[in-house]
Amino acid sequence: MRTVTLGLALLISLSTLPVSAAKKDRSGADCSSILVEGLSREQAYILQIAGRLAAYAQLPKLNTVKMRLFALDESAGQDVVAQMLGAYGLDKDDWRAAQSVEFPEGAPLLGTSAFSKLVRSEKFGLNKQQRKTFEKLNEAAVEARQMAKTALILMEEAFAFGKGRLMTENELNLALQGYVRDPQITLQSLLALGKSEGPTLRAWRYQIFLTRERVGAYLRASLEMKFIDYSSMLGEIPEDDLQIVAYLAETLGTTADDMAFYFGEKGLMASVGDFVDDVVAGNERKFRNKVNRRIYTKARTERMLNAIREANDLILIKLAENQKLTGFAEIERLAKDLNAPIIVAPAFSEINLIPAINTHLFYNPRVHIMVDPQLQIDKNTYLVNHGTMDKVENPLVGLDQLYQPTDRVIVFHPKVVSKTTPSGSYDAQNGYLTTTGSMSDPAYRSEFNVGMVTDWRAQITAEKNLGLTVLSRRYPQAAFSGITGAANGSSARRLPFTLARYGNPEGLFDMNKIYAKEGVVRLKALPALVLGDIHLGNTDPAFLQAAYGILRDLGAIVENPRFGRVNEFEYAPGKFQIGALVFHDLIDGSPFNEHTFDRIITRAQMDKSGQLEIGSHIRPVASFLNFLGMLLPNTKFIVPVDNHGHDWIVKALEKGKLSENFQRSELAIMLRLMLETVEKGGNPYERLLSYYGVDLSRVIFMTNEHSSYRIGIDLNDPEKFSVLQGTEIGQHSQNGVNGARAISVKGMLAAYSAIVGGHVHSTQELGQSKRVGSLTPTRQSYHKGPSTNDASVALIYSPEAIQMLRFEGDSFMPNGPGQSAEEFFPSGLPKIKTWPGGPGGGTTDQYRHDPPKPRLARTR
Amino acid sequence: MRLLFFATLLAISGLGHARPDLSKATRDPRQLSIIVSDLDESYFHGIGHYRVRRMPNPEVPGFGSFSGMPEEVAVPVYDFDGNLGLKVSELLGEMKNGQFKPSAAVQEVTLRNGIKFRPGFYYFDRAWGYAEFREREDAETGWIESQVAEKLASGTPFLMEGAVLLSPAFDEKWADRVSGAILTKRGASPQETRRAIELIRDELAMGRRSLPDEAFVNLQHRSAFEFADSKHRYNDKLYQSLSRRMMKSHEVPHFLIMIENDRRMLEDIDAKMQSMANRGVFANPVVPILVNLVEPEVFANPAGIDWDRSRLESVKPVSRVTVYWPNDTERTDRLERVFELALGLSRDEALKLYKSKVGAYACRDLLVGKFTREARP
Repeated sequence: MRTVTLGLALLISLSTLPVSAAKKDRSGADCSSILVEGLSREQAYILQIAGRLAAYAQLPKLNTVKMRLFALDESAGQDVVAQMLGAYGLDKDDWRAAQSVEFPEGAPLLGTSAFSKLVRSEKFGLNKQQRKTFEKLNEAAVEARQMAKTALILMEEAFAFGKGRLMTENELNLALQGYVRDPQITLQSLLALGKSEGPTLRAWRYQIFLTRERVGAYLRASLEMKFIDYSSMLGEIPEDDLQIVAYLAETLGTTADDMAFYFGEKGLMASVGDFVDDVVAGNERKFRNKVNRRIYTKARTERMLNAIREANDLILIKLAENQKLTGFAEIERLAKDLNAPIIVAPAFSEINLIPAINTHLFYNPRVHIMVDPQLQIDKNTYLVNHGTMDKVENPLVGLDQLYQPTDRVIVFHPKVVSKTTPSGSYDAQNGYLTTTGSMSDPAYRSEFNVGMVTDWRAQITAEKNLGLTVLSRRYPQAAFSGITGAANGSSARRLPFTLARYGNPEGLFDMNKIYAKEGVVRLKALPALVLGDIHLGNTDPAFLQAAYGILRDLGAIVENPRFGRVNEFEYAPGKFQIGALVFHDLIDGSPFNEHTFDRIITRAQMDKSGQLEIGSHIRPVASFLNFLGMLLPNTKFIVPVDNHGHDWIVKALEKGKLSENFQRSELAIMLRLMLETVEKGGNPYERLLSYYGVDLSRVIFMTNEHSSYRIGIDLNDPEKFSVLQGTEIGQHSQNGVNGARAISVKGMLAAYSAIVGGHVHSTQELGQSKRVGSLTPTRQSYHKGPSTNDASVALIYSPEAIQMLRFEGDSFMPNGPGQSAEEFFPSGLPKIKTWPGGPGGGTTDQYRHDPPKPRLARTR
Repeated sequence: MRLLFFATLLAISGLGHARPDLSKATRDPRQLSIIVSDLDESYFHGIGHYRVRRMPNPEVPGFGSFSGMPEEVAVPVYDFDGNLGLKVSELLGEMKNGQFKPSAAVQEVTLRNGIKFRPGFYYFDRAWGYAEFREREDAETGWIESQVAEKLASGTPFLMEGAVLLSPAFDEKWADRVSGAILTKRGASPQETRRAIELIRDELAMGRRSLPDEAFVNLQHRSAFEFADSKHRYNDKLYQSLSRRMMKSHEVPHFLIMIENDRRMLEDIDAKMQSMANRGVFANPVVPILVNLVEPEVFANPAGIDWDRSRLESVKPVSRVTVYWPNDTERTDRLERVFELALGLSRDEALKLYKSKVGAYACRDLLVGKFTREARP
């Protein structure tokens, strides 16, 4: 009954057959006659023979041609093959000789070139007569299969133009069997595909899509129409691929599995996403009022990459797992002011882990969702969202081994952690690893306050560390090309979220501004600015210039209107006030201190060149401080107890080593001054500097007895941080906690909570425990081994808002949009990069045994 | 404070041993007093300049530049190295091996001649900076001579107490008992100094006596090579010469009077003269006298002029006139005490003589006001 129905459908379809389909086929027959007349009896039988010959029997002596075709003859009731020998150009002798031939398992199908090759081969061992017989049979079979395929393609065409889809595998088999008049012949046997060639139906359709363009175009149009209908019915562009495929299958009368063959590598369309994007793009008017529920699309990615290319700054935020994004008004204010796109990375790179409460992000034109694990911005800047748990202690573990020492890697993670990439003795501009921070609610808040102790601690950490990262382009300055090399690149800075302090509102702190809900508030003062270790005399001029540049950018110094007159300096004091300027390792003093203490020959050479004259080291410091004092009349200068300053002079005094270290001409006065000061309970280091002209009314020299200087205490609301009053700036951090020899940022966090130290020449961050880098060249004269040197300064606004600014060569900020995107992004950057999979389900978190379940399947 | 200081000194002098009464003593005809005066700021004031040079590029590296900084500034002697005021010599930066290092004094200062500059960005070039302290090769008239002539022509007060105290050396009236010398670290020729001093002598009608060229000791001039730039050596030589000048009567000793205003030297001279006084020379005794012309305002200012960056309380106060009798040091603030001893005058006569000298050219009072007002930069 089904065959009859199909045949009827075929006949109807034939009337709609395009003229081109009626062209002459390779066999010489007219296409339409092929369909109408069908195969001849002989042609049908040769296909049946081919099928039987391919059926290998497990029992011995059943694999001869005679035994394989026995069943065929049985079913027909007589020796049918023998009756048709004339049609194949053979006689009975030929057939008799061929009947004893035995085919091995997996022999090629009759009607293929491989079969012909087999019978011709000497190894197979056929005699001349047998070979002739099988070659003639093969020729007949080739012709018959070609005719059958042609017929089937014509039937498919007719079916497609009639129904708007292609036949299912079942329908194809029925059509074929009806045509061949043998229920045993299937599409599988007709196409004779190996296992490696994939599903038979996909291969069959791929052939049609390749050869019959009109069919493809018609089907695409048909699907497009159905999708538009579906979208109209829903009033939106649906989010889920499976949902769309299921609808299309249902309306076209097929299954979702079958419909899936239309999409993919060998399908009609590359993917459902591409199909939807194309339809939406081509029918803009029809989709204008539809809500697009599709979050991750190719178009969105393209838009994000374009936004990156066009922007000078990028705002980077991590969305903590299933948490609400707070302070979005402030973020938007920042984005508007910087004219920057906001790039948000969801937890585990899973778009579906964004909770419904943050859905508004998808409809904000400034917001771009980055669901890729890795995005390369420029030559050596990467945005990484590798899916580490929010609560993990150190999200940067292992990354320094995946990237080059000069790469800047910005990891989307809610914790505040930064470190300079270890480079050993590779003396270059170091790269760094830093997290973006997050503006999400703390991820560890337990709803009923029954969380564990660790949860409370994590919660406090999260509340204190709210913030985001801004990635800015920077540009080279011709004057420093020799020092900085290729200065193209990006520079990241963190914008911490501060509470309302000093009469200013809460918001994102950046340099001299607060981005608050109410608007951008320009600050009038900053409690402190901490410079990287100075080592005056061994300072990199480019870094020093950048440090001066910060004073200019803040407005602490302004251009002098009287410049040009007698004895006037280019800059004059500005209105912006800085409470304290902190100098770590102010003097270099490397000829004297223990770094080169034991080098006899070096010391002899230094002595000869006059470097052992201490005045020549301290006088420039006095000049530097007094000069800055002139430009910053209301700023206190803080000099912590450091190993290059206070420590070495006091140690030298205590060990009685002064006479070994300094030139004799100065020794008498130094000893006199220092001993007098010690007698009176003063600071000998301070006395020495004041002797060489440092104005003590401006400078506070810390001592070991009073080595704490807390700044930025909020007098308006001291209860806010009852334990953590202010930020510590009087600690160089060369001394450890409780007398230990050294201190880590973690140790500093335990001891001070909010602190900016120095000493190690590498910028580090762990929560509000920070370390500035240095302002020296990468390699110091006294370095004996490897060095990891980078340059930075810290701006302190409040205990929770400390901004680290890394110097990249001579600048830390873009100083002019003078560069085109083509220059900045060579060779197709920025681009999405894949992340090498591994334990942990494609994340670097190999211990994660319970990856979160997304709300919906990943759509991509 | 100042009164307290002098009162203390007077009290100390009152408690000392009884001084010999020289007015009634028999003076040997070969008895001699030699008055040796320092030149700059002891004898006259404001003659000559040190010249300082600006750093090659007037800029703070990596920061910005200065505008309108003159390449060279002529700093008056009293501003450069005086006891009071700026002491520019200690504010200058330094040039070493072709590299300039600024000093701590980066602020603008005003010299007492009205010129403003930033001394921290200038340096002293030895080859060029001493130009006005050397023999002048490009003109007949030397620096000292021409500038003294200029001061006299304009009637500017410029003479210090040293000029008063040295004046008897130019008077024939005292030629039998007083001689004089100028001892300076300048490098001008003795002839030039002599001509300059004689201009003053003639202008003020001090007398008509001329001192020999050897009396004008410019320590940096080749003619004073034997003293190796040391005022001590010169004084020592005078001391020995006097002690060999035979006297029959020893009631009035020879006097060696040194007038000095540089406080860095005073302590040393004090110690030296103490040792001279106690050498045990009995045949021809020589009594050294130190005349301290350091401005008393220096001691009077409790905030202190930070000399050599040492605190004021550690500076040893020295009275105006110190007479080093054997085993007894007489201290007084009366400068005319020098006349009493050297000329054998009574106290009133000495005071009268002291007041009669210099007149309109005495600049001390004018200077003092300026010093105290502009004590610190």
